[in-house]
Amino acid sequence: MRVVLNLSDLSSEHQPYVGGKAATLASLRQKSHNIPPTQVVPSYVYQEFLETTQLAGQIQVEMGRKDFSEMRWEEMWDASLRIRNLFQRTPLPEAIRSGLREQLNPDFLEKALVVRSSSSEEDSARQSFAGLHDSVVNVQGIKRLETAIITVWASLWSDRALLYRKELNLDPHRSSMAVVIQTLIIGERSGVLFTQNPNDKTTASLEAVYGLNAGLVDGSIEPDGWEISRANGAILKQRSVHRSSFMAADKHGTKKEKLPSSLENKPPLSASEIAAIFNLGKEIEICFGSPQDIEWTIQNSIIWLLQARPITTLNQDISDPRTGYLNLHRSFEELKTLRLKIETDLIPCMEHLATTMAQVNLQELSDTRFVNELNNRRESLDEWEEKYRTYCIPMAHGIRLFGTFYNDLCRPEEPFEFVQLLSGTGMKALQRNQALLELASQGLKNEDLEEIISGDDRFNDVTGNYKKSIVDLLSHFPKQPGAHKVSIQKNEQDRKHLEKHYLAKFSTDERDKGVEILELARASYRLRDDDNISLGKIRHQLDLAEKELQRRLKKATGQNLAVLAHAEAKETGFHASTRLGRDHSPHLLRSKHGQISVRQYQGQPAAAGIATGKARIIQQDSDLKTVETGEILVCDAIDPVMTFVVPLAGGIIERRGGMLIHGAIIAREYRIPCVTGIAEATNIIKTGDKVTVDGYLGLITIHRE
Amino acid sequence: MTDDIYNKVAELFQTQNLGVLATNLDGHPYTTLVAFAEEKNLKHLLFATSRATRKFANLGQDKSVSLLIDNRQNKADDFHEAMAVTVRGEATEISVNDKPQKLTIYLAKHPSLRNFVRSPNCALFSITVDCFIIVDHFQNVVELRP
Repeated sequence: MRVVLNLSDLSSEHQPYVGGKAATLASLRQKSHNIPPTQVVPSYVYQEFLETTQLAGQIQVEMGRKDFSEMRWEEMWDASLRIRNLFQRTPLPEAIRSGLREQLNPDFLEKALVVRSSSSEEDSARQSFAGLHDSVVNVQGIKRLETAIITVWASLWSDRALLYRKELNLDPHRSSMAVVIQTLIIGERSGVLFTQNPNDKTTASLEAVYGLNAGLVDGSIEPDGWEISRANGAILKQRSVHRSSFMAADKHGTKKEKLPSSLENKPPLSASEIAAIFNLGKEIEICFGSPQDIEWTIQNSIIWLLQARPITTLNQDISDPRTGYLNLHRSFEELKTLRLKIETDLIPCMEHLATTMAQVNLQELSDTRFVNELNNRRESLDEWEEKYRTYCIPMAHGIRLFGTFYNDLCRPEEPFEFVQLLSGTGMKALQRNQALLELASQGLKNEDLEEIISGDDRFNDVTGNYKKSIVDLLSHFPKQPGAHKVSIQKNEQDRKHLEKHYLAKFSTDERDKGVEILELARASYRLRDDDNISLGKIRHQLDLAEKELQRRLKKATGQNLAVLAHAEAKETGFHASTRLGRDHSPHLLRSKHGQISVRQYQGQPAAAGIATGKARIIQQDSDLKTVETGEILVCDAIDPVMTFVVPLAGGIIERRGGMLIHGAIIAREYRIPCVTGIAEATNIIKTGDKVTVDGYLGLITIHRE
Repeated sequence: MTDDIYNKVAELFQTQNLGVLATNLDGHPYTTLVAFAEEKNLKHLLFATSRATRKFANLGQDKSVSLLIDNRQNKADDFHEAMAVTVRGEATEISVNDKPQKLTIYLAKHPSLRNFVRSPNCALFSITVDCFIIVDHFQNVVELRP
């Protein structure tokens, strides 16, 4: 088997096996353009790898947990991480390894390389996968090359690539991946040329940075930009930026470095270089017959072409669908900025706002003042939900980024091992539960408990039925002597052990970086939950106002309320999220064809362990106080404000899927088996059913006679 | 959900010719491949066997059977794509009076077995279905009682 093909040997017959990128590079080479020495691992080698190692079947199992079309993004990410881990833990079969060693250009063993994707769907005129698959820059030595090839193959299954395929209705199981291996040209300046601006067909667009292109492509370095007339090459607009850093080759990989001060005020390209790159681009456009997106680098005044692909977004009414998926990629630098904003600005503001709202006695307000208060709360929630989407959700990507980083570094058997390393970071939800446990152990009367809870800021989203539920539940807590203390101690031991293992992977001079990355990931994990709780408090205050509106409307007095009567009350918080307009049909479903009962269903394994117990369906807040120790909670999702019930549960089944949703995080903290993503959970199970939760495999079993 | 599952079972039966029949003799399970045909409402499934076979002897002692019908293709895709239905029920031999009508159904699906089923030594059985246990997506299990 030819494991490696030379670019010079490629002809049209190879096109199906080498992907668009390699085919384009071969054409450019034929036209005598400066292309780095390049070889290609064809896609049939990828197929051989999948078949020989039986990885194909394992991927099918991971992707088969749910219909692809029904998967939420979180579930795709989870599946993607598991699949990436399978790839990383599977060595190349001997036939491929020996073929690679024998057929690889001997020079490549001595040089730094770039390993790029060239998937069968990639870079066609219909769709571009630009930026969706991985490239590995600065690979040295055969072992690292083998790992890099596997990393690029695995990126066919990245969450971004899966989402994009879902959008385009492409079957990921039919996708394949060739790999381009090039020598790394360490250019002094690099960039991207769009020979035709996607938004203006009369201009071309050029962007450039100092150093390697990796900084521009991953968005970590802001480029200078030029708009150029396609008609005569004249520079129409120039965008200068604050130049402070550049991407350099590191020992293995790349790193961001400070730009020498002499270059800070100097654009990366001169007018003559801009003209040369533009003219080269026009030539390539003519060669391929369509506008091109070209990556280039300049080394010792020579312009090297790294890759070219057709621009697929021309003449489209909609914006590039890739944009959203590319946004899933966040750098640690961006996350540091986000963390600061969330910790020092957003959460304190949300807490302050909720506390201020809680001080208003709604029932005492006149109708006019009440209407103002209600509208303010509605606007506030809209505003904070928008901020939550803009800042808090992207911050959660820090967990995912760390997961990938940790797995690349440690290659754990269990792909979600990293979550243990992030837990125990003092989440608000857990602090609240700890406070409740302490209250429970004091044997107070119910009236006293209600008073204490009312006077504690940590519980200012807990009122009405919730408060009653909590007080009822507290009487159950002492029945679990020390169980959760044990789990917390065990978590702590595991965490310390893993931390030691993780840090041992860094050399002495890199250890500080390892600590910094871990600290940021822990913040991301903690904030993922804390910001939810803070937002929940605002939501809860609006909920109270909406209820007050309903109360006043029933009385139907006053002019302002007559106006308000036309406004639809908003449903918020737990009350809304648990309804969602679904009908809760019984667990046994009848039709003209007979009676159907679900025996076993597959979701996602969100917290390890096995538990069997009586099911308790949670559909409304009054269900909370009926929960008994050891029962299996079955719900839409564990809302942050209902976390207090979790320590009583024997197991958890959630409709929403994902390893990093609130309920899954809390379940892991308490070591309670949890399965998520059982979309029909509240329909197929009824309270009282005997249910087994298998948190290892992500299975639930409903025991029937 | 109900119609959807029923239709999936019906489609599987239409597209498959063979199933694995399990019979029982003194607590020892015994499996063989049989050509089956389904009746319209899926409440009965038909298969034919020579009277000299082990399964025929077993059925004389214990009518309880299980029949596995699936669409696996022995490929990696099976873990994601394949569906299996285990039929649980009781198998009884079709009486002489009913045989012509049931044979019409059976031969419509298996015309090549015409000579086989007309042999005097061949018995036609009907499985009265108690329930279908349907497995798809590798581990999702649903029971349907027609």
